[in-house]
Amino acid sequence: MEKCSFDHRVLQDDVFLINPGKTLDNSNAHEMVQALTNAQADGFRFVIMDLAALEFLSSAGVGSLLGSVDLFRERDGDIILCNVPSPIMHILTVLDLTEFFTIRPNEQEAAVACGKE
Amino acid sequence: MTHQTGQETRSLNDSRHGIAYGDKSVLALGALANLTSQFADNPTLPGLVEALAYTIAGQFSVANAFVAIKNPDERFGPAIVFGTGKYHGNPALVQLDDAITAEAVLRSQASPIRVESLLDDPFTHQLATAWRTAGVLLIAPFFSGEKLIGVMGLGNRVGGKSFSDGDLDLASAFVNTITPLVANAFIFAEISYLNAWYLDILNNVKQAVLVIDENGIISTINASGREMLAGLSSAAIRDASPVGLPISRVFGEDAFPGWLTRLSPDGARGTSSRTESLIARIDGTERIFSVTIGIVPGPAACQIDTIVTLHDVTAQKNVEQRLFDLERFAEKGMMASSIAHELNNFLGVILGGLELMQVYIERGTVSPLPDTLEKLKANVDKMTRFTAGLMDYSRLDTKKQNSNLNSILTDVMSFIAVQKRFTRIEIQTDLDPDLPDMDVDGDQLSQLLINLLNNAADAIVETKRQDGRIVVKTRHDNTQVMLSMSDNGVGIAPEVKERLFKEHLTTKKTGHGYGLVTCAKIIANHQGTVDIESTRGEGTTFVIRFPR
Repeated sequence: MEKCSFDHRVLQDDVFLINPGKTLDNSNAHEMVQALTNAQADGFRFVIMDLAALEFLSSAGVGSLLGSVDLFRERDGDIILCNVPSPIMHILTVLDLTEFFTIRPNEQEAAVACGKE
Repeated sequence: MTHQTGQETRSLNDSRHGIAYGDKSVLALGALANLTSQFADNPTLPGLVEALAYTIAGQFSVANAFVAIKNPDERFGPAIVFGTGKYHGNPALVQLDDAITAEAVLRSQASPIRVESLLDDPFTHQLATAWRTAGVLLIAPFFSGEKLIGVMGLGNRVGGKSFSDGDLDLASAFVNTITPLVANAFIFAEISYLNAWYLDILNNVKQAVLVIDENGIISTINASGREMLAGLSSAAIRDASPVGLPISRVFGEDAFPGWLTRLSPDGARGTSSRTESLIARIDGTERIFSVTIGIVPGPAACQIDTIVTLHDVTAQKNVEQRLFDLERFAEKGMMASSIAHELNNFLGVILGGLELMQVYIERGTVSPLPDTLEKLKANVDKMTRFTAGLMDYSRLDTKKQNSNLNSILTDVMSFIAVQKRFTRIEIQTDLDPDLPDMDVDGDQLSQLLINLLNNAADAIVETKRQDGRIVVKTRHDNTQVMLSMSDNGVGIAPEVKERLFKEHLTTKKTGHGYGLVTCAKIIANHQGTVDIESTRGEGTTFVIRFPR
């Protein structure tokens, strides 16, 4: 895995977990796209995005995720959001994205969604 | 919740999902605040373009969005573009040149614009087709005043949903709010590029340019300045940037005596940007600088800075001195040749006189001999005067007295005619019988006529023609006395004619090129002018005009 500026770990052979931290906005949107692109290039079909610590998600942060989802879905993979805090879920609801994103309550269930449990 | 669009007031509640557009508006405001705080103070165009593309993707729930801003300085490349998702790195989306062609159409529509609506217009058809092929559904142009500076585009909404009227209203408000930020960034980039350009110019100036503030601190210096100061300053200064250093630390008082005071704004005020030479002693060696000191407004209000340009002209001055010495040396050689040439002319006249006397003696005609001898003596006297007083043609002493050009001409002709070079040449005279007397130097005019006649004869001899002819005319009017001398010699090439009196020039194998220079000097001594008409192979006419 090329360097990833976010907390991350490999869960399975083709499942990569990223923790974006407290903020996902203009300041790190491009880094997030880079991390997701690198993960896909390294053969990970799934990325579990653990949003437990996320306090601020801007439109730009959402944009970085939206633009990357197809990278995985086109290869029978996905970006799965888990541990989504309530304010963040509200934003996704406002943007009408709760059905678009695969969202799971926790890491285990996200792993199940990857077909790994 | 309501949203004022300017045209109408519309409910922004989306009844399908029970979500208030007010929430989206709040989110959009948050996004705008985020962008503004990030880019208001540091509006880098590439950064803004990228952040804006991610923001509109998220705000309008699209995977594929792009933002393209025209490059303020086309020297730095095409438009600055950033795309998300599948639009990332897709150059086909931009076509800003086409968009600029369609500028008027884009301005006429409410933003954002559905790409479909642009297909029918011939001005936008090609552009809209390219966008539609890439999957762009909505576009919004950015204008800075009347100028289209960029465009943003949105692809399909994720999940196969379409853009509602509420989405369009929100997009409209978003674009209206974001446009000033984009325009500011564009203007900032334009200024930055201009600054870079001016800095490039400044750094390419060979002279050292320094700006010194009111406290004597160097605030700006160009590349030549750094280079020059590196050679002048102490080792401690050499390794540091001179910016921020007091000028007194950089320019030692011993190297530039008295000039530190001049470099202060107070000292500079009296200078009014004039250039002076400054002699400095650096490491025991004398160096010469061309220095200009002026004042410029400083960055703060009421601040007056000093701008100094320094150019080390030591080498140039040394070369100038050497050239000056060489010129003087060459001038001496030239004078020697010129004198020899003129003496040769006198000798020619004397020889002519002697040949005439020989003819008289052979014929046994002695009566003209005293007169001829007298004329020969007069010419020897002229030679003496020439050698005594006219050695340096550049300081020809002009002793004018009231004389008649016809008389001088007749006098000269009587000696010239018998010279060998004129034996096959017919000399015709057409002299104005009422020609007024003028204040002239008779010796100088004789010299002028001899030179011109010799040149005419040589030009005829060169043609090897048997009907060589020189026609000398005099005329006058109220303001001037005119002399013309025409020959049917080889003529003068146009490029030679241009240079004839300006430099030492000869086209003759044995010529020196100084005869006409002397002629020019004599004509100038009499405030006269000369015109030349010449055709190659047909001949030349000199027309000399003297003021009365």
